[in-house]
Formats: sequence, structure tokens, C-alpha cells
Amino acid sequence: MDGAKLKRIGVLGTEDDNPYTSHIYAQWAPLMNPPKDTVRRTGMLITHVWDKDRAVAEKFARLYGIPNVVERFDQMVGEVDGVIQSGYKASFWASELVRPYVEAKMPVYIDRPGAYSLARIRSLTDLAAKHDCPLMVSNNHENSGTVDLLKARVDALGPLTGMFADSLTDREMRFFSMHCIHGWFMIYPLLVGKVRRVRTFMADDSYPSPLSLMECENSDGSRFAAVLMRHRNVHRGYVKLFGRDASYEGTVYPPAHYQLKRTLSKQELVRDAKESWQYLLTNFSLPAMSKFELAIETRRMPQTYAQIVEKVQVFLAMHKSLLDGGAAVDLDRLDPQWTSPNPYPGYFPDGYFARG
Amino acid sequence: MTLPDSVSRRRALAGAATLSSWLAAVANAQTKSRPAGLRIGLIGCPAKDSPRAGLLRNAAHFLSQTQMAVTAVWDSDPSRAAAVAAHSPITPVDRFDKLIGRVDGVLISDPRALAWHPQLAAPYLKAGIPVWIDGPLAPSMASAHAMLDASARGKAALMAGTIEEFFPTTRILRGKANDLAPITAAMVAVSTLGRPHDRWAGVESVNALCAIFGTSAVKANRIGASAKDSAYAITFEYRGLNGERPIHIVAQGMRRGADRLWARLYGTDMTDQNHILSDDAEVDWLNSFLPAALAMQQMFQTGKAPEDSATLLAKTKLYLASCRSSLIPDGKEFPVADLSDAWTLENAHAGYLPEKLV
Repeated sequence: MDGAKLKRIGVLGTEDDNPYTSHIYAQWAPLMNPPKDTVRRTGMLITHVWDKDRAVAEKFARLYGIPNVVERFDQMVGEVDGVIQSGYKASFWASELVRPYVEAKMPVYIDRPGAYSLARIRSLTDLAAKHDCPLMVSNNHENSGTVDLLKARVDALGPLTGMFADSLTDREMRFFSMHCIHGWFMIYPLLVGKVRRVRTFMADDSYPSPLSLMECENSDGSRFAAVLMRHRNVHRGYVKLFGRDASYEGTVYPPAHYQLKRTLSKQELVRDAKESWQYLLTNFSLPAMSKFELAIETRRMPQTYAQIVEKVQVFLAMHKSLLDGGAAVDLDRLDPQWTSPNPYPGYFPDGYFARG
Repeated sequence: MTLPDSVSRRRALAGAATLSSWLAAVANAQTKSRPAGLRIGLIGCPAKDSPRAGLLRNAAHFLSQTQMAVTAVWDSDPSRAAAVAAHSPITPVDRFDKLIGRVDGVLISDPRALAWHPQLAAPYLKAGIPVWIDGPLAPSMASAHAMLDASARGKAALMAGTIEEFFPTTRILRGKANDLAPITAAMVAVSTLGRPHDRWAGVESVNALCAIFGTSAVKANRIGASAKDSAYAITFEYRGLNGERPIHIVAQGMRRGADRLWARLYGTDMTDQNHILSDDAEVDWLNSFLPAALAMQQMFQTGKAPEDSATLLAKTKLYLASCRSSLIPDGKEFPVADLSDAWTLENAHAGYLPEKLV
């Protein structure tokens, strides 16, 4: 592909090289700035990077051959075709970080959760709507081919009568907003406009595996339950849909080495893990980036602003219920000001985003 | 209508103009072919258009393919009993306790009758006649204890269960649970022919969970208990399946769309799942109804119930706790230990058993 035609991407925060906490670092960057002798799989190229810690940004830039490390988070306005905000530590401030780009009508991708309160996500989507800015608040799971297949089938199942899903958990519940959210984003495309009431139970604080139960309503008024279980990292996600007329299921990224773990030798495991990582990049991480590329190209969003708000709203209800000991939360009664706890308080000092 | 001795369920259903004529035909066939079989008294006859009719059609059919035969029936609505008996040697009786002397075992199978299970079973247990209850044992733990006491005094076997407990798939899943141990989570779906908001409906799921994972759940939660619900979800917090760590197991019951039974089990490193289909009538019959019928027959023949009283009490308590949990306004989990013996499930069918008969 001609480099001049590649869409220029700016990265808002890299944070560290842990592939599980910073998706941009190990999963998305190699797809946009592939190492030598690796097939290019996107039409995007990271040309600019910013991180609160400049040394981290410079390390990232060296690794992926990125020419520009900027000093301030808003210095990529006008320099790139789209920005990606990713990472654990800055996620609480995502809406502040992307604000200059939204105001400049530049397509923005925010790696989950998007916002930690209903008021904040509404404020962000209102701003994006005002500036006609394409916005994605998303993750890998919900963009996977498996979820696309399920989405294509869901109408053929008739009114839903039930759903089971699972996704990976996290060892620390302070990261609920970062990891336990994945399963919810995964199934949201199948439950758009359906969730009414949410509760989240936690059986074991020493090994967190929160269970979310959603009371849902079909367009014909019939009601059903959707169950989302978080579990150890056996695979990235699983969905079983039950409808009036049929059932259908799918697994998101089931790498062979997980399934065969008990039968593989140590050497085979190492080899399989490497192959599995390539599989992950192309089958699990790529679809999200491809959809963002399409959003840049067409300026059309895969989900509406209202859907983004709804998706974040259910996540907030799940977290609130968890913190309230499993008490059910009605979506339409969620206090817009209720704020999911910030996993990294103080990462940005007060006044950091104040405008001069 | 004439049916061959070896009744094909599909042919029988296709040839039956009404439920009563079909039941009568089956009764004729079974009586002619096996006059020396166990005589079963059936308490509770379905209305022709009842959601339970399908299940009870199957109940009558599975009886016809065993050594059991329905010989007498009672229903609080005499017209229902009369309809069943109209063209067959089945005898309708006019009081629920008049099956004594006519039968070798009693099957109580009617969601309307739950509140009266203790009264309906009492005369037979006292007379030493085994009683099999399709569904929950009793509407309260106090009455469950009383029924088991009556069973012990009368030396009459007592069982309450649903077909899910006897599925071959249930047995397979129990084996898988052992293979995967420690179990860290599980999800189960069952099809339910009753209305999901009918409290009776959740018993299929509770019994399936108990059969696969045991009865060591300590908290319960149920959602989906209104007329608008097309399904329900019952969550149990289990202890003892993953060492000391508590885990969640969820069951959903659906009127349509579910396989007869579907389950997904999670171990530490592996998952496994299994299901039993319900869209093939013969497969469904062989896997879903026949095993329960054979267990019932064995109990009537040997006088020994398939479950001990402790298990029967434990699963009754879990069922009642799941019902109790749906009444908690904030939707939190309900500790099973907090269920009092006196708490009684609301009777949704007042008047089923006329007061003068109790």
C-alpha cells in the first residue's frame, strides 16, 4: 500500500507494554505499524503519539517507527486523520483527552469504558453530535467476527427467550471498568435497546468472578434474562442465544492452546502461544481497527451516540449493583452523577485539563 | 380409535382428536396388552388446551410403554376426570382419597395442586401406598417435613421430582462435573412447559441443578416471575464445588427456544457442555420421559424412593428459597438458611381443592 495514502493515526496514551492493559501497545500498533517483513493489514499508520510520561511515548515511538512524539495531549489536532485513546490509567479522563479532537471533528476511538458516569458520556456524545464527529467507544470483543455472525442471526431466532455469555475476569475488582466490561460490550450489539434492570453478584472476593443478570425486554413486550458470567481466561468470550424459534452460539477467539492445555508439552505450549498471538492480532484485534478505519473513511459510526450512551449506562448499572451488594439497578433510575470509582485516582492532577 | 399395543407417540398424537380420546385409547391399549401391570392412580387431569397438556400427554404415554397402567383418576374438576375416563377402563373417582384399594401407586401431577400436596398425599402415605409427585414436594418446609414423617410412619415411599433429574444427559453432566472438578461456574438452560411466572415452573431448573451439582447452595436469586416474562433465571451460590470458594451457577427456564436441557460447565482450565435436543419427538421421548417413568416404576415395584429424605428436603428448600428470593424488593440474593419452616409459597390456585374435601 502506498504510504502516502495511509490514514494518519494519533495515539493518546500508551502507558505500558502490557498487552492486556494497553491494547494499543501490543495489539493495535503492530497492525498499523507492522514490523518489517510482516503483512500490512490496515490502511492506517500511527504517525503521532502522546503519553503523560514522555519517556514511555518515546519508547513506543522507537518500537513502531513513529516519527512524532508530541508534548501536549492536544497537539495532534490537524496533524492526523483520527485518534485512539487507550490504556488503564487514563481511562477515567478519556472524555477530557479526546475533547480537542471531537471539537475539531476528528474521528475518535476510545477503548472501553468511555466514561465513568452517565453525565460524562452524555456530555461527550452531545459534544460529538454537535460537531458531527464520528465516535467509537468500543473494544475488540464486540467487533469480532463471531459477534457479527450472532448479530446477523439474532433476528432469525425470533423474540429472545434467554442468553448466556461469559468473558474473562480480572484478579482485582478495582479494574471492573477495564476488564469485566469486555463481556458486556461483547453482547451489547445483541441486546441494543433491550436491557431494563441489572444486578451483579460476587461470590468470591478472593477470586473475583462477578456475575451480571440483566432483565431484558423484546420489542414485542416479552421479557427474558441475559446472563453474563466472568470467568478465568479460558477464551475471550462465549455467547449462547436462545430465541422463540431457534438457538445459536459462538465463541470469541478460542485459541487452541487454551483448549488443549492439559495435553500439550511445554515446548508445544511456547510454540502454540506464539502462533496464537498472531491469530489474536488478525482475528481478535484487527476487526475493531478495521471498523475504526471505516469510520474515518466514511465518517459513519458503527453505533449511534444514543447506543454508546446506553452501552455505558448498562456498564455503570452493573458496577453500581456490584458495589451495592447485588441490589438491582433500574436503568432509567440510574443517577446521572453516580460515578464508577476511578481505578487510578490522581493519575492526572487536578487542573490538568483546565483551559487557559 | 384403535392403537396398536406398541404405541407410537407421533402416530398417537396425530390420530387423537382430543386429549381425552387419546388418553382413552392409550388406556385401552395398555389394559389389553398388560393386564397384570402396576395400577397407577393419577391425581390431576389436564384441560385440553392447558400448557401442561403436552407434558401430561407424554406422562400418559410413557406409562403405556412401561409395566404401569393408569387405572383410576381424580381431578378437582370432575369433568376433566370424566373426559379422561370416557372411552376407557379408567375409573374416575369422586374424592381424591378414593384411589385406595384401586391402585398400587399414586402419581400427583398438577401445578394447580401444589398447595394441597400434603393433603392429597396423606391418605395414601398412611395406607402404605407409594406416592410420586411431579414437581415440588410441598409449599413450605414445615409441610415437607410433615409429608416425610407421614411417609416414614406409613412405610410408603415418597418422591417429588421432575423429568430433568433422570435424563441420561444429566447423568453425563454429573460425570463431567466430576471430571472438571473443581467446578468454578456453570450455566444451565431447561425448557419449561409451564408459564414462567407460575412459581411451579422453576422447579425443573432447581431439580436439574441439584441432580448435577448437588444441594449445597447457600444463596438464591430468581428473576422473571411476572406474566410478561417468557423465561426465568435462577441463580444459586454454591459452596463445596470449588474447595471453600463460593461459585455461582445459573439456570434459565424458557418456554420455547431452549433445548430440553443445555449446560455449560467451567473447570479451572477447561469448559465442557452438553445438551439434549427436544425437536425430535422420539429422541425427546426416549431421553426425557422414559428414564423418569422407569424410575417411577422401580419405586412403585420396590417401595424404595430414588432419593433419600435428606436430599428431598434439601432440594425442596432450594426451590422454596428461589421462590422466596423473587419477593425481595432490592433483588439481592436470599440466604437459603434464612428460609423459615413456616414460610409458605403463595397459593395461586385457591379453590382447587374444595374446603369440604380437606
